[in-house]
Amino acid sequence: MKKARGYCRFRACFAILYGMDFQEISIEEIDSENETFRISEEIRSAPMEMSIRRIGQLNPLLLLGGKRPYRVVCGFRRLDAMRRLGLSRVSARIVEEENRDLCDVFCLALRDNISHRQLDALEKARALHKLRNEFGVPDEAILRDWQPLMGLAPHGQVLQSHLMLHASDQGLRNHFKAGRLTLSSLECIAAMPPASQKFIAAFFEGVRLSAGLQKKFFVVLQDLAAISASGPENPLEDPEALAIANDAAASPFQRGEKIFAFLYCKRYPALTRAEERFRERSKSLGLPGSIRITPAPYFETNDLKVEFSASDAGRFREMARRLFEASQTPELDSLFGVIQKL
Amino acid sequence: MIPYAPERILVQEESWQDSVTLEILERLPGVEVRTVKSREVRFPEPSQGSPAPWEDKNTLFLLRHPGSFLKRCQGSGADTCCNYYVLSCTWNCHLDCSYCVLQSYLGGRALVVGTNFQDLMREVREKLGSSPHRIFRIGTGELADSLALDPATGFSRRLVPFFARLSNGFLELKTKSDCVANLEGLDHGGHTVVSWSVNSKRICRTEEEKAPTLEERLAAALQCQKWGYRLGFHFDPLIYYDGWEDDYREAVGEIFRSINPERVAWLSLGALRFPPHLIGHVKKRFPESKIPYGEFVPGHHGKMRYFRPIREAMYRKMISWIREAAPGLTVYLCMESFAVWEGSFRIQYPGPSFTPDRLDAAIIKG
Repeated sequence: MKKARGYCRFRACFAILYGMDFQEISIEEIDSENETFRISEEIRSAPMEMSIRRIGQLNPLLLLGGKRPYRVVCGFRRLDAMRRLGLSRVSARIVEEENRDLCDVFCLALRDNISHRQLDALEKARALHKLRNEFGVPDEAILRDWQPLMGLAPHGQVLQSHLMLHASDQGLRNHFKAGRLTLSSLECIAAMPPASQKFIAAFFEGVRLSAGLQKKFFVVLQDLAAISASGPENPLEDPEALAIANDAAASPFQRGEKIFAFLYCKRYPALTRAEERFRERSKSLGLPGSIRITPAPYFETNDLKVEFSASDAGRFREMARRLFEASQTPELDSLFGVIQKL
Repeated sequence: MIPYAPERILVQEESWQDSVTLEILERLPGVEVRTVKSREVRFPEPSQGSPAPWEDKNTLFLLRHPGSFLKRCQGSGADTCCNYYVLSCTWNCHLDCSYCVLQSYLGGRALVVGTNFQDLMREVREKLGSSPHRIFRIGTGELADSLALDPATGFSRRLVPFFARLSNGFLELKTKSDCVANLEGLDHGGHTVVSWSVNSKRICRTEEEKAPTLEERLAAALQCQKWGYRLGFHFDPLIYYDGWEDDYREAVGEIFRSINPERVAWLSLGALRFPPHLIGHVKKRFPESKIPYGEFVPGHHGKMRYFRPIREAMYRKMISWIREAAPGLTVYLCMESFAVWEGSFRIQYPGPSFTPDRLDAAIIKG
């Protein structure tokens, strides 16, 4: 029967380590393809490689013995570095597999990782997935014992969102690792169907959005999808959106901003139409750019605000003169007409 | 309508001394009853999450409300405020309308009934006595449905005769329910208006699933009219969707086909408005609802509202259909600005006291 309590797991981990000796073994005896106990998202580590090249292997690998080849419990990155450096023998401690609960062995690996570094979101997701789905740890024990250890709130919703993260499209994970998607964006997309995830991952190959804009972007995208009762990728399949995404003359960030503006316009058609009409009419007043005319926020009232600054009396008179001239034109009535008859 | 049937009743120990408690327990036989200490029945703060019993709509709390029962309506900051007062003796609602602000407003989903009714009546008497020449329109339908719990609480049988004896107090019972049986035979003295929150049949069906249909609400209203009560109607919230015109026009027609407009004190219009965080609740709890996808912008008091031209267009059309069906009826907008009022009624708003004066006049008319 699987043990549920973290305390028991801790004792089991201690029992595994107790009495193990260091051994030096051939690197060929280790199965580096087996990822049963892997937690690290990135195996290749340049600093690790440099360290081992300079001062050698300081910490032994932890390997699972029994049948050969050995499986790695702790030390995936060390092993990768040593293979790259062409080392033939490594120092290791061997956990004998016989009578071992593999869940205890994984918990040992997880504790080892948590003890000396901060896991990123994908690593936490991988660890939670393995605890729950590969080693059968009950949700209750994960929430109580493991999520707080990883710095996560002990809520079922947090567990679910991490399980979705783990199952998310590889392209999206790559965007996240490269800093092109924020964690909250990744969480949002991870909840979408796989086909939508794949489409969005491909779409973001040529498009960038600032972190602040990403949040708004995905809210608008999902709203539009809900309005049209279609998949979340549907609004991005619009020919106009695709044309913006493929505009070679624009930078990835410019494309991102243009696509957001395109989607925003579809989500808020009446508001964007009113803003456009207001901009056109206020331009027709012919005022200099230093005089700003703005409507009330979201046109909630009929008021107009006029702003300018002047550093001397002459400049002030000039601004006032331009405003007076504008006030005599029918374009001003037309501008108020836009607000009053939105 | 699905009647409220709690699975458990938690009674604050002091509430056992109140007759309200015993009456409610008599009306809800067979429900598990537990006595709880005072510190266990504090309203949780919405931001702190809710302890288990508060999160459960099947829990009914009976407690002594320690604060004020009577408050100015939260719309009092709006330009066209109607100077309404809110009297809260029950909190929360089991009807579970998708757009309802109560699902995120009170910090819990349990239903709560205040048992210290004597305190409530004393507070009302004192407030009204302090301004004897002013008319007070007071409603119980702000933080709960006025009548949905009435079969259990019987509050209407206490409130209606109480207001009948107050020269300057008028009670509005605002409901979506058809629980009007307790109103029969009461001495209301013309001081109680029974109002229905109404909507298009489609919205009643899709967004107010647990509430009675429009026909059932109107049947209850007609019954109250026969018992001599004046009625009110509130198209609130008005919800914009493809085809809203036909549906709302039909609803207006249906009301005045059965109800005598001469006996209707007022009708209000209020386009959907809500605090921004409500959107998340609606999307999560009612994934089929299309309400979150309207063209909302931040408006008065930070609430989200339909973009102004959408609201004005809805109000204008509603006003024209109401005028056709009931030309002399007092119609007003709830929580709106002068600009929207003027854009909807197509006349200049006469002044801040315009709406309250009209409503006072409408109620005094009797």
